[in-house]
Amino acid sequence: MSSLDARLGVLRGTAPPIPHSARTLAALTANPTCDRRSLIDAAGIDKAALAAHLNLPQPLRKSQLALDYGLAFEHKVTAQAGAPLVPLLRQALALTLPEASYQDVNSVGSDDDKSSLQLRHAHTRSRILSAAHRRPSQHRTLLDHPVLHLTVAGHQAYLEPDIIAFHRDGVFHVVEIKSFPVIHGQSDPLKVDAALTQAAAYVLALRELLADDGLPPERVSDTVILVNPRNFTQHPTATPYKAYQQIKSLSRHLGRLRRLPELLDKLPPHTTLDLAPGPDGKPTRPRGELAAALATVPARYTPGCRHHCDLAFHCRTEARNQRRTAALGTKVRDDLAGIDTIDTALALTDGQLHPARDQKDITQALQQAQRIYAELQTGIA
Amino acid sequence: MDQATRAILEQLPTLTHRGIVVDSPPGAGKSTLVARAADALAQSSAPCPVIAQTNSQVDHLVRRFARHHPHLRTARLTATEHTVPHDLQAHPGIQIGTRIEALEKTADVIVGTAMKWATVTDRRWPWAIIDEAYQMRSDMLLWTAGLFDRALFVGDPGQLDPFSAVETDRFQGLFHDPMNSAVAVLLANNRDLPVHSLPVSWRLPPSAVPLISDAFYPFTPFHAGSREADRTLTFSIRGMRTPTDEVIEHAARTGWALFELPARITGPHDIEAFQAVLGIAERLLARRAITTCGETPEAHVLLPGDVAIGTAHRSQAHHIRALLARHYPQLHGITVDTANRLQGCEFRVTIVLHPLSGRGDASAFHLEAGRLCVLTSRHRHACIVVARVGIAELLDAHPSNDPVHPGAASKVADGWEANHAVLAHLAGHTIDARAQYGRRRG
Amino acid sequence: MSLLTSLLKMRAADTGNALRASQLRHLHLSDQPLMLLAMTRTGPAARPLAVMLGTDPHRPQLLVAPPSGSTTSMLATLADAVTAYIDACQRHSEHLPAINNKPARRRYTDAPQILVPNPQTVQHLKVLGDDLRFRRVDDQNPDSRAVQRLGHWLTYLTDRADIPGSAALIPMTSFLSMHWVTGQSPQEDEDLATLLAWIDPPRHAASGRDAAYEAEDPATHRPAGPATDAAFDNDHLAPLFDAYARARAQGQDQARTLEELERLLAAYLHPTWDLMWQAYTLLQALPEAKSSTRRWDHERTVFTDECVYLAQDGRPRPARDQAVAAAVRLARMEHGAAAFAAERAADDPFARAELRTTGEAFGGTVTAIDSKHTLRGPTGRPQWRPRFTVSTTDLLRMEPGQLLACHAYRKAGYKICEITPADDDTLVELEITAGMGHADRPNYDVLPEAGAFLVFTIAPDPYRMPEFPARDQTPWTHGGPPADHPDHSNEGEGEEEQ
Repeated sequence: MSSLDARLGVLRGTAPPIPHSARTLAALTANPTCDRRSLIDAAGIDKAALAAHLNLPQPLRKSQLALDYGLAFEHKVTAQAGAPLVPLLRQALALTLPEASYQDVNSVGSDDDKSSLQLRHAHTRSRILSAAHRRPSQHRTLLDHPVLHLTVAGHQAYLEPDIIAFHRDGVFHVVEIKSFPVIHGQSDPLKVDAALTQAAAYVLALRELLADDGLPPERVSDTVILVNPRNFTQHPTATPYKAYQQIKSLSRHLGRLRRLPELLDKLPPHTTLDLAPGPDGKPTRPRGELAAALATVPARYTPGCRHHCDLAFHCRTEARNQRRTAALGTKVRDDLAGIDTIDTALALTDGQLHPARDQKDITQALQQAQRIYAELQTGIA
Repeated sequence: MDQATRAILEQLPTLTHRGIVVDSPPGAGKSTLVARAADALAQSSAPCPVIAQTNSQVDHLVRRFARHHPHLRTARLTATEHTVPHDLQAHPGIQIGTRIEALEKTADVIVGTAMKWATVTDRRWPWAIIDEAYQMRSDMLLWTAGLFDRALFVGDPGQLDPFSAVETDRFQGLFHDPMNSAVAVLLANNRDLPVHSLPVSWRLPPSAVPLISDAFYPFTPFHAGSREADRTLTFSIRGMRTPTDEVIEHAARTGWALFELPARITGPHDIEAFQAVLGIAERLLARRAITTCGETPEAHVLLPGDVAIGTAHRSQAHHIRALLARHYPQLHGITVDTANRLQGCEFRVTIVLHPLSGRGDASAFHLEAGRLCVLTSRHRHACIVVARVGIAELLDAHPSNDPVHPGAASKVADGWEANHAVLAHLAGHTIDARAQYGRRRG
Repeated sequence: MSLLTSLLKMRAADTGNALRASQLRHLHLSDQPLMLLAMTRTGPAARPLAVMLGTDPHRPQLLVAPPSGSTTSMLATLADAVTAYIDACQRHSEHLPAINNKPARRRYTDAPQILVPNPQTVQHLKVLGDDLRFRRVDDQNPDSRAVQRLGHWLTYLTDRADIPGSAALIPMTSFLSMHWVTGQSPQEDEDLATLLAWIDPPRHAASGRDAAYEAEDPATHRPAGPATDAAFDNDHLAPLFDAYARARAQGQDQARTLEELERLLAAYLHPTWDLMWQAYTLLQALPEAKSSTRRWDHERTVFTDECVYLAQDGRPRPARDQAVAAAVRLARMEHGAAAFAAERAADDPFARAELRTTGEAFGGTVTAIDSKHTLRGPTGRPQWRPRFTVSTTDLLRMEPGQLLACHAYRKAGYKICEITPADDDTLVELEITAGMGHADRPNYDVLPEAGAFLVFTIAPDPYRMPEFPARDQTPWTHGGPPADHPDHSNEGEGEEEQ
């Protein structure tokens, strides 16, 4: 075990690590400078468990109805050995794909088997490499439930894309099945971005796999296919997207994770976010102590965090208690040009604080706004 | 006139397609092409309408026609609200009118803004030329396309995309998205149209071309028309060994310089940066900068009109102009404007306030590739960028979860990547605003 | 948003109480709006779960869709309710005389106004309209016609909601945020319950901030829709849906499950229903801005046109705009936005104050007037161009030549001639360029009085709607005239499959 692992292990405590998934990787790009999130994810700490212990609202909780619906759609698409998928991919990639061999990697090992991920990964790897090495004219393969590896901050993360398609031009495509609809050619653009960022993780993992075997990474296309329900039905439709941007930015953010030792160095010794589960499995860590430990890892809170982080409400309370301008939204934070707290801003506005040299411009602007508002209140303007 | 331009002009009379598109990187001879093409297309029976996007572009074209194509009868179609510059009003060869009826019978070439042309109805001419077609919003093309049978579209694909103040997501993905540029919509609906590109920049010096071409024109690369030795920038008065002197001397030698102010989040109105920008301009002129250039080898003393200051926001430009008027009377005549308004313009030296300087975070507006491209590709000799430390960190911190629409891949480079490319290049040209002379960073 | 709003946000966060931004209401508010809450089923696109609607705060109508099977009958009931409301707006009309090149015509004296909790509900209704208006009409089934008609109206209303200043379909959170500034982030302002808690806290709460904190309590907080939250899905809906499916499979009576579902949803929606009326009462108490009458008149004109279209043609609007339609729509949206901004600036001192902090306006006192000033015009005749000077302490980010408008003299136009910075203030010399009449018939009303405090805003760009080509005149650059009939992208893919 590397010393980095050991240090992250201390931070995590007794619980087993939760591996990175495409979803957590995608969240890296949403708030890349949040050190708190970077460290907690790298240490594999269960954020939902932290949030539950801190009695926070859980905006990211999954609806069973949504999961069921998504699963039903996925089954529909991959039914009959992927039969509905082939014509869609043919159309989306504008190629002749008369038939395809369909391989469900899920059938390797059983679902409950702890080793199945590794087994499925080995299986995926051999399928992909054999497809890639054979003569390109013969093969069209749809690989269902494949398992890929991605090295994240020195750790192996297992990733499970929906489908990998390989066609005879020798190129692999990542195919993601998503249950949000395409209505008259339009989808929710934020959901599309999230899906593409997840797909970017798969593309990177697939490229890593090929590169390890001396194959050119360009054999994995940056065109990703999203399969969604069409209009108001459950009929699938496939849309090709260029995921170039997402791939590039995710790989850049992954590269930044090398700073982890640096971040750990800033923590007081023995800092841990351990929940100290008792014999019944219930956390026994005093909440105040946990909050204090969290406070040693700096966060970069924005109101948008609630869309991708379980700890958003904790960080919000912290930001509000510190009276940070960021808690009022990015617009206010921008407008205040580097003044971090509401107290400083108001004290400068009201003349109770003498502006430092670099606060003169913003102070003048705030005081003018205050003067105009006062005129408004007294009915001059 | 270069080979590419000549080939395009030769093609025009026998063109079987209804349109032809010419991509023109900065300073690749777009105006020459437009003027020559208008000359070639103006027929005795029918005038050739030229559709540009702003009044200053139109005035510029009209001036060019009058100077280089005096045999053409040139007309300026204008809105009543716009005051045509005095030199054009006084020019005997130029007719100016607010109604098409007054001009169409006697002119060979009629130039106006798209906005004005959109008010002309019940006319149809065999040919039209659309200048700055990438700046033109496609709805503007829709309002004017009834005026011509065929058209030559000329524009710079690396400039700013058209914008709107209202929410326009609902149009995304349409072949005729009114928010797309005229060229994008034209080509989406007419996939067989010939597209040419002008491969040589006659404006940008050899020091600027590789960076601008790589960072902003990945799909239409170009090269420099001049040689290193052709462009010189020297000073006839010795400097005072201040960082400001150093920055202009460095820019004079290499074509680039980054004047780096200490890190600070300032918001858009960074008075210190404004003063740095004006200070640089002042030193350039005070030291009697002299430029020479391959075409006109005789020395030219740099005048205020040869220098531009570029900003991202209008309020910044206003602020700098107000400071200039109040404290720097000797700089009177310098152009101070936003990237939007500098599109298509050319100067000997430009001073650019970096769009990300002093910001707390990047945003789509400030990252837009076109904005930085316009700002860093207006110069013939040198470009000096003024920025606060910390832009690289800002770029890294930028969340990359932008909304995605199907079919949205554009010809334009990615802003984030382009910003990194420019920054990496400038790293080797950095002068610390606080440093002692001779201690250059980077 | 301006620096002024940011300052007020900090003040609100500091004191714990929301601050009034505008003193005026900028949207017309009907005496009888149709209040509408919509919940959608998690998963399938645009499948309704429930709708609560009505014009009487005490008697909402609740419509619940069955967990599985056809929603047509529920939608038909919804269609009847919405159509009845819209029909009532067509009871009276007024005569409009011919002006310019427009012939005389009639216009309804009322127009529908639907209030919904948030922009997400508008989006949901838009998607629902996209579905319903292409549904096939079956002459055997009167419900099908009603449902298609509902789709048509939903598309009309959600299209109107895209036009700034329109009051046909208003999301309440946006409406409230136009008039109050809270001490929470804009994302949090999108939640009706916390927004309203800040603005109008219950009596027992110490502050708006405390009330908002309380309103957020997951145990009592109800999202205003259209999405349900995961806890509600998992703990309440999923078990009921399962029970319903079991009963259906076993051929048992599903009525009890449906009743239970109705009770559940009624209890879920009621808090939001009450908040909507609370918000309505608050907004109704604000005096209406002057120009909102003009915008409502326009709303009635557009509504009348739509009724005529329905009677004479009635084909569903296409799924996506054709080239000309898209450009026309964009022009209307931009024109609407510019007109709304200009009218707000003219009507509302707060809007002007915001513009002063963004540098798009300045305020000051008139110090000197040169009422005799003339210019020599292009033809050589002298033109009367009175000038005056304003002293301002605002940070001026304008230059000579800038054209301005002034709230006090709406028909006049001004130009900055000269800016002279002085020690404590800046002197701006202005010329009146429009609205002063001719030298022989001068309109002295536009001359300000010395000592008056005036605010000048940047004049809106002159805007002329271009002449739109007809659909069948779509030029080759845009693909030529589109195929004759709007596309039915649905291709009869029925809702029953879901």
